[in-house]
This record gives sequence, C-alpha cells and structure tokens, in this order.
Amino acid sequence: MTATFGDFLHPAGEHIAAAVSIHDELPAEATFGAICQFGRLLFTLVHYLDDLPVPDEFSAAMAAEPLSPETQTVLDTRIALRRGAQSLRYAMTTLADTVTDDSHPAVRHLSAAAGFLAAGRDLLQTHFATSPGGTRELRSYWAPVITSPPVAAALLGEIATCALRLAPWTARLSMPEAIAGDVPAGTGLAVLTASHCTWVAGAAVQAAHRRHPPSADAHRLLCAIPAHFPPPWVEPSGHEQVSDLSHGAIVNAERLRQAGLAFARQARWPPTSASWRKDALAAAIIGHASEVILRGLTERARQLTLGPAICAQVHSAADATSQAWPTWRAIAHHWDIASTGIHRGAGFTPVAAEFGDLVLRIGRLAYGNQHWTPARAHASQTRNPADLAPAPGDITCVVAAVHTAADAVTRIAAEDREAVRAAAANHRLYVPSFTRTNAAVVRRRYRPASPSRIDEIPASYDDAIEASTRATSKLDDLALRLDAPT
Amino acid sequence: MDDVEVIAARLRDACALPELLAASFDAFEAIRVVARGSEDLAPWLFAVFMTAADAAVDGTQAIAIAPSLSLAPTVTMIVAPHAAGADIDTVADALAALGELLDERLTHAADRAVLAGDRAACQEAAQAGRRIHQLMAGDGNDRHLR
Repeated sequence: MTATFGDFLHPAGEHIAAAVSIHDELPAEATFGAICQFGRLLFTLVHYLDDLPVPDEFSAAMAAEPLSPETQTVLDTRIALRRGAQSLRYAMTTLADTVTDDSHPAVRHLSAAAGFLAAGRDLLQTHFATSPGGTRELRSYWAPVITSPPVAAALLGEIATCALRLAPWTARLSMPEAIAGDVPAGTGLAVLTASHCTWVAGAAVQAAHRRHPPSADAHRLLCAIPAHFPPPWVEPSGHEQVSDLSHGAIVNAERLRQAGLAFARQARWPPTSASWRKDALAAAIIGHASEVILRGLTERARQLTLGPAICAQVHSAADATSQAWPTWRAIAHHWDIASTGIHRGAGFTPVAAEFGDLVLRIGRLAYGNQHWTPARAHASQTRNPADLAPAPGDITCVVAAVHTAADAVTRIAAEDREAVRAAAANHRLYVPSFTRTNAAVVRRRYRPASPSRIDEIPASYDDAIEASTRATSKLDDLALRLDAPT
Repeated sequence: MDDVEVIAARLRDACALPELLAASFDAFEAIRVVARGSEDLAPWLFAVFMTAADAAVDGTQAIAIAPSLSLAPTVTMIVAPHAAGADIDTVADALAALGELLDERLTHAADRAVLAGDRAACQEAAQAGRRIHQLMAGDGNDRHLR
C-alpha cells in the first residue's frame, strides 16, 4: 500500500503533543537534547515553507503589485521561522561539546516528530523534479494539487499548529535553571528568540486563517497525497482470477500514468507516430473490452438487485465507454497513413510495455479465456457476468480496474496530443503520396502532410479526449458510489 | 479474397530484391486494408484485427525505407476492404497465410541482402509478417501487444 502524507503528519502531531505534555523540569542533558531536536523541527518546517510556491523576499519587496494576503502570510511565517532557525543554529553550536540525553521521553518524542515531518516532506518532494536549468518541475498528477492554494493553505495550517504547540514549551528550555553548567548565557537567549519566532510564525497563520480558514476538504486532500513511486510490476501469469486481474490492472494503470508523465519529459525516446499508433491501438482495445465488462456488470448488478441507481450508473458508464473507444480506433486509422518518419531501433517505450500488460488484464476480465491475448487462437466469448462478479463486492473490484484503466488512457491521450501538436507545428508529419486510378494505385514516397490532414489528427485527439473524459467521469461517479479504490 | 491470392502469387514469384520489396509493401498494405475492414465483423476478434492491422503498418513502414525499394512510382491493385462473401475464418486464414509467406520470403531476403539497410528492413518486416501470422493463425501463441 502506498504511503500518504497523512501517515507522517498525524504521528508527527501526536509526538509533538506528547512532548509538550511533559511538564516536569528536564535534567540539563535532556534539555540540551530537546534544544537540538527543536532545531531539527524548525529547520524542517523552514524547508516546508521554502517549497511553497511564493516569491523570495527580495522579489516580493520589488513587486509592483501588492502581494495577496495568502502570499504575505507565507512570507511572514517563513521569515519568522528562518529567524528562529538561525537563533537555534547558534544555540546548537554552543552545545556541540556538551553531553546530551537523547533517551528522555521528551527528547525521543521531539526526535520522532522531526523524523516524521522530514519524511512527510520527502514524500511531497517525490512529486517534483529539478530541471537541468534549476527550475522546479511537476512530475506527477498530484503535483498541481500540492501547489494549489487550498492545499498549500492546509499545509500552512499544519505547520502553524506544530509551531504554536512547540513555542510555549520550548520557551521553558531557555530558563537559566534549565541550562546549567558551562553553557554560554547566549544559548538560553537564542532558544528564547527561537521560541518567540516560532510563536510569531504560528500566530501569523492563525490570524490569517481566522479570516479565511482552509477547507476540511483541502485538509483531507493534503493527508491523502500519496508518495509518487510506481507500484512494483506484477507480471501477468495467465492463471490470475478476477480479483488478481483487477488488482493487476489497477497496478498497471498507475504505472502507466506515471510512465506517461515521465516519458513525456524524457528525450531518450523522442515521440514518434509509431508510439502514438501503439497507444491508440491499446486505448481502443482497452475501451472495447471495458465496454464488454461494463455490459456484463450491468446485467450482474440487476441479477444481484443492487438497486436501480447503481444499475443505471453502470449502464451509463458502459454507454459512455462505447462512445470513447471508436474515437481511439479513428486515431489508429490516422496513423496507418500519417507518420513522423521511420526511426529504426528506437525500441519500445515504458508506456508501450505497461499498455501491453493492461490490455492483457482488461481483455482477460472481459473474455472467458483466462489465457486471452489479442490473438485469434486465444479469442473467446465474453465472460459470464456471474463469473465476473460472483458477489456485490466483486463488482466494486472490477469497476475499480476499469475506472483506473480509463483514467490512465485519458491521461496518456493528453500527453500524446501535446506531442502530436508539437510534431505538426514542426512540420514532422508525412503521408505517402497515392494517386488513385480506376483499378490501381500509383504509390510514391512520403511527402509532407497537407494542412487539412495536419488539422484532422489533433482534432481527432480532441474528440478522443472529450469522449474518454466523459467515460472516465461516469466511472468516477460509479467508483464513488461503490467506494471503489482509485 | 482473390486480391490477397494475387498478392501472394506476386510475393512467391518475386525474384529480385526490389521486386520482393514492392510486393511485400503491397502485401502489408493489403493486410492492413482487409484487417481494418474486418474489425467489426466479430466483436470477439476486434482486438485480433486491430492488432494485425497495426503490425501491417509496422511492416509497411519497415519496407518503406529499404534502400532497394524502387523510388519510381509503382502500380498496385486496390484491395477491397470488405471480403464480400468470405466468412471471418476464411479472411483470418488468408491473412495468416500471407503473414507467414511474408515472414518466410523476407527472412530469406534478409539473409541474402547486401546492403545493411535492406537487411534491417527485411528483418523488421519479416518480424511484422511473423506477428501477423501469430495473431491470425488459429493455433497462434501471441502474448504481447508490442
């Protein structure tokens, strides 16, 4: 199961709460340890704020237009926490040679909280990459969610909660009686300054959120952000049952979504008409088989008396899917003729590999032969609805597979459309020269595609994306109703 | 299916490489046209014909850049997209046989080709012919869409 941001945020909050609930005076060695962990926490919180999409302080100061209140809040919070972190850096330097007690419960809780928060930030960073030019690039479909104002506000709220909990408790660490021995007097002052800055940071956010509180949905979304790692590849075995096929299809679809984005940003496999043709082929077959599955589920939902609303939704999803796959076939037909040229030895892309597995699994869900492939020898009649979903819960499982497959296809389509548009703009589309006579075709080599042909292909992608989005939307609704994993 | 038979005869009769390449180009094009025309004839064979048409395009494109393929305009027959009167098994068997013939003739040509470009084109096109045979044969063993 993929880890989510909430898996780190919640334990971090619990450990901070546990640490600040300790009211007994800490021994000096434990105090030193707590100061060091407070430092780790503050540096991590500063990193979170550095990641938020706001201008740096100098650009902000030079901006002609006044900053939005939200941006101003982030900047104020970041400045306060940076000052606190600078003070603590000094304090930690003075403690470098002292003996610290890391086994004290307060220190252990603070250390664990710092670890969880750092891991949570690492999880968010899996959705971004740094370009060769040093700019930050989005590398997942979740990345725009993370940088969206509502989710950024929710994250800021969580940072403020941590800061406001820590500030009063850490102020106690600065008291002269807490810091004994050979520690310079400046150490206590530095810790006090850091505590004060931490409180200022938290209060700035708290005041802003009192006027515009982040929504509960944004908070739920923040906690649901998964790590951006492709799930491990599961080889189609030929002996998979419906539940295994559904699970495998979901894994393939997720890997396909990730491969599609990564592929679109890599120059290693320059996009060619051959790869777009294979994508369209796979999309058409997956869509065709998905319609077969959804027709079977419609019948099965009636047999299991799941209620008219669910039956209608499955039926509606089947109808929408039946409108989508012919648009993919139309695109495949375009690439029968049009080409970007022949690129020998380019090899198959990661997208093609994932698509191949997804075709097998969706095909094996649709048809009765568990060894189904797109070959005549393995063709068979459609799967019996009762075999496809023996119990109501199996319908949810199969819908999840069809839903994630449709979503992956739609996302790949969007990437392909952009690449096709770029090829068309760069005059990289060619067609063979045919002249028809009464009973013969005179064939010549390829020539640049005509403007009308160049317009037709992206327009077909628009049609396919529109139809696929509609089908995916129907499946979204169905998946939500059935509480299917997505 | 008469058109396919005529093209198969041309393939069998081709002696020189340019002649074989031209006949192969037309054979792949014929497979594509017939497969596309058969996609809706039997829903359970939709994926079969779609994938075979795609393999035929691979074959055509491989041949298209063979150095020995004549640059001069050539004349070929128009293949009827719908195999009127033929049942689906007859169509599939004919395409399987044509794919097998392409594999055999182009593999042989690849072994004898002098130019590296011709050799590579024949090997790739032979592979496409083999795929078409595997997809269309009643006893095929195709596992991949790639």
